[in-house]
Amino acid sequence: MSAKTRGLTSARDLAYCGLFGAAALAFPVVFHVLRLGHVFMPMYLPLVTLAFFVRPAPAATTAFLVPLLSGAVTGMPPFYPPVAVFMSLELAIMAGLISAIVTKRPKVNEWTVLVPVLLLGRALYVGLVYAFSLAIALPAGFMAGLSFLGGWPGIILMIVVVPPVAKLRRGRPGAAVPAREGLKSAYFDSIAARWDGWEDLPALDAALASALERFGVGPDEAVLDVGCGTGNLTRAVLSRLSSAGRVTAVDISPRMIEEARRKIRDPRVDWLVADVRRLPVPGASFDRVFCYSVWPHIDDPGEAAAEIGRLLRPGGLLYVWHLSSRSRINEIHATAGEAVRHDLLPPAEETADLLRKHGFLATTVIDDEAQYLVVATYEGKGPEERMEAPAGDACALA
Amino acid sequence: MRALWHDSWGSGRGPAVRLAPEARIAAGAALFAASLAAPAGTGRGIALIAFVATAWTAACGMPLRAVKSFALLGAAMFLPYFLLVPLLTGAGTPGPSGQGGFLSALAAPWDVVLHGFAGLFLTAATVTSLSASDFRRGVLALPLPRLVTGVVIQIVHQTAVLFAETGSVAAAIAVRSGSGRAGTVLRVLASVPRVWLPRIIHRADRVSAAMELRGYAETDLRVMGPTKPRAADAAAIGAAVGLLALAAAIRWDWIR
Amino acid sequence: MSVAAVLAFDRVTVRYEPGSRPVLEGVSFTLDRGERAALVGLNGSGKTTLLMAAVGLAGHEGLILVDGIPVRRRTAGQLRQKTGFLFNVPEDQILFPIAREDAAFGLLRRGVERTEAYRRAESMLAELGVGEVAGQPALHLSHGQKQRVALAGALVTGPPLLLLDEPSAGLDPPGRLSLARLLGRLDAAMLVATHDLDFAARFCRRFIVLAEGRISYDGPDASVVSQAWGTEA
Repeated sequence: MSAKTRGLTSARDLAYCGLFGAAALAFPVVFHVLRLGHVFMPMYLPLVTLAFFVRPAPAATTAFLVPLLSGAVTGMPPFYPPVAVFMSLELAIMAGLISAIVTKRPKVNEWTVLVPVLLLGRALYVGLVYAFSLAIALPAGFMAGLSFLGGWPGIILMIVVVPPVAKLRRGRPGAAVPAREGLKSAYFDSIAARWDGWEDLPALDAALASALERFGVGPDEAVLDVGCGTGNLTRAVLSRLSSAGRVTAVDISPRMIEEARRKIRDPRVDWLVADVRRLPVPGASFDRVFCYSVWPHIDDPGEAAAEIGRLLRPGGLLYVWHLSSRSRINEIHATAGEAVRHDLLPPAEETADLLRKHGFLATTVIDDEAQYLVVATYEGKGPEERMEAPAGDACALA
Repeated sequence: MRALWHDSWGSGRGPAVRLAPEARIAAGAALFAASLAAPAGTGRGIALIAFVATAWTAACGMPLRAVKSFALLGAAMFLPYFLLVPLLTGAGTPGPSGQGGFLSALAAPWDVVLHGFAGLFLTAATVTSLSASDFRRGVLALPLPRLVTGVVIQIVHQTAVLFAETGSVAAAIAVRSGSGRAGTVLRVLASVPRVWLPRIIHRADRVSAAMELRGYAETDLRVMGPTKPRAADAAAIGAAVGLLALAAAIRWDWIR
Repeated sequence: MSVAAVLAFDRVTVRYEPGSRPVLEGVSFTLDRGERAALVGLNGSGKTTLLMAAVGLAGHEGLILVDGIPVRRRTAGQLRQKTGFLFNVPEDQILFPIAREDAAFGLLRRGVERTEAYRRAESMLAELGVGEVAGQPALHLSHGQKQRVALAGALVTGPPLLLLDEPSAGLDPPGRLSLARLLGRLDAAMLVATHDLDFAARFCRRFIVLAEGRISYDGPDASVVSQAWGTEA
């Protein structure tokens, strides 16, 4: 996949834009036939909804194009007076803003985004009407006032109708997987076979074993190994567990998991090719979660911390851990390859702060030449969002 | 009114139809811009606007009944602006002559009416010269950003699917609404978030799956059917742009 | 995994929501070259999900191999050439206005020259019995014709594996018979999700039964299935 294809409109964006765009053309026709007219601004509904589902560029482009297409195909909205252009601008800016906010913060509350943006959009539209009326010497205040008043039924309808539908964006197949993830897993795939060759395995095994002893990993515990790679930590943990213990080992790189599975055949391990932020595992499942040699590679550590909080039982422990100094790690990543070049480890105190924000109590913070370690206990009080399970249709394709 | 527009697509039989579809779209757009740019207040401006609108309508060969229908439509849409004249006369300042107040009050509605009619006919004529597949080919051939082309093509395609599939969804809904106006309004509005939009979402998921499987999104449709540029097309676009330049010149008094 | 296997599932589990019941659980089977199997199950048993997983559109645990290639986001490009897919609703996969354009797309994408691509598309359409509508707007055809146009688009690149989701739904009895005969003539290996045993038995010799996300029967005996459902084979 070349660098150029990264910015491409995905199939998902294109399909959603096409369908919601078609709906935006159709709704005014249907509303008209049902004698509801334009008072509820039917064209706006699908376009504002669309903004919650696709990225900013496709959302804004679709929103901009639909009034123009509608004007050309059905004569409404008219090109002159340039109502079509005003609507295009208003809708494009609203859709672009909504999509940009939702892309940046996927768990944001729909009302929080929608209401200010709708009001902003209407203010823009009224402003454009005013300016245009001034320019051609029509009574500007009168025209602007009409537009202002005329917009309320539509705005109220959108505020009521759009958020419940927008909630359906969570858990959609193929929802919001950033392109960079593919690059990263491809990178780790490419080095999976050589990974163990770079380590002094016996020394590593010894170091891990003694560390786990200090941590006090018990025989019956359920442990999550995030970014398990070739399974070196997994193996060390398994050697401390009894037959009642379990390890869930997760990595975004399928090749890494393949390597690990070949090395370790043990019924107490569940191997998962998955992203830590979207693990198909019930909450409060683990006593301990190890993020060994993986934390800097996680694009959104806040999201990961929130999800790990969900996965830990209250009082469970999280380890953000490297057997190397922070400067050495960052040096290695900076020269290792494009996919991981920006994966930098922040000072341990900063990591501890981040964890505190997500309901953890940091009990150990070490940041020296020999290791980087943050141990945190999950207390269970964090942002509200974490408690909410992703809503909406479980499976649109089943 | 919508039927008027819908039926107009591709109904033209004039010489402009022999141009490549992208040339028709580009020329139509340039002439539309020209009609907007030319001022409605001067003799030259009015002449240019009238010329551009009539010439393109004739070139596209809009059927006579369509001309009549659009004229009526224009009258319905734009003549009401003259109703604003009393409002404006009262508020307007008297000009050099005694009738100044009334005349200057006419200026603004006249601006809307003239530009409105011209724009309406120019858009309608362009529509008349294009069939649905012409439009598609034209959009693919224009040097637009890939995202824009992709979205337009998809919207047009999905709209066609919608119409082919549902025929008269609206009629079906209308037939079922026996409980009076208020009841219908509430029922329709309530079904938007519960029925219509979720259906669209589910369909979008399936279509995007199909696109992924067929490798549709990664293919640049524009390279799949390149057309050779022809002299006639270049000439038509050139003429249209020339008229646009002329309109701008008149508006900003570059020529006397 | 056998070399002849064109599709292999190894302990595949699919969940759409973290922590929810799996839609597919521990599914394992292999499909050999040219083999035709019916994937049978009630609505909600996971048939469509299984097909989606096979083409990489559903995140899964476990291993899925198509013609030896593991199914992942990364291998999507290679996989595209190995699998043809027929959706439940043909409109979902017809992406071009004219029938022959849609059928030819797969070839044009691969760089096949334009006239050659259209020739092959038209001959495929003819083979499927819709040759005479090749130049018509695909969306105005009958359901059965649309299906065949979509099928032409899937088959025109000669993939070794064909996945079909409820192909007999929406067809009248003669239409179903005709489609069954047509599918029986094709070379590709097939996995057909359906709850129409009658239809499937006409061209499949193997029945994989899904119940609540697990395989409950995998064999040649349709009567076992129909007994379980209380219907006649």
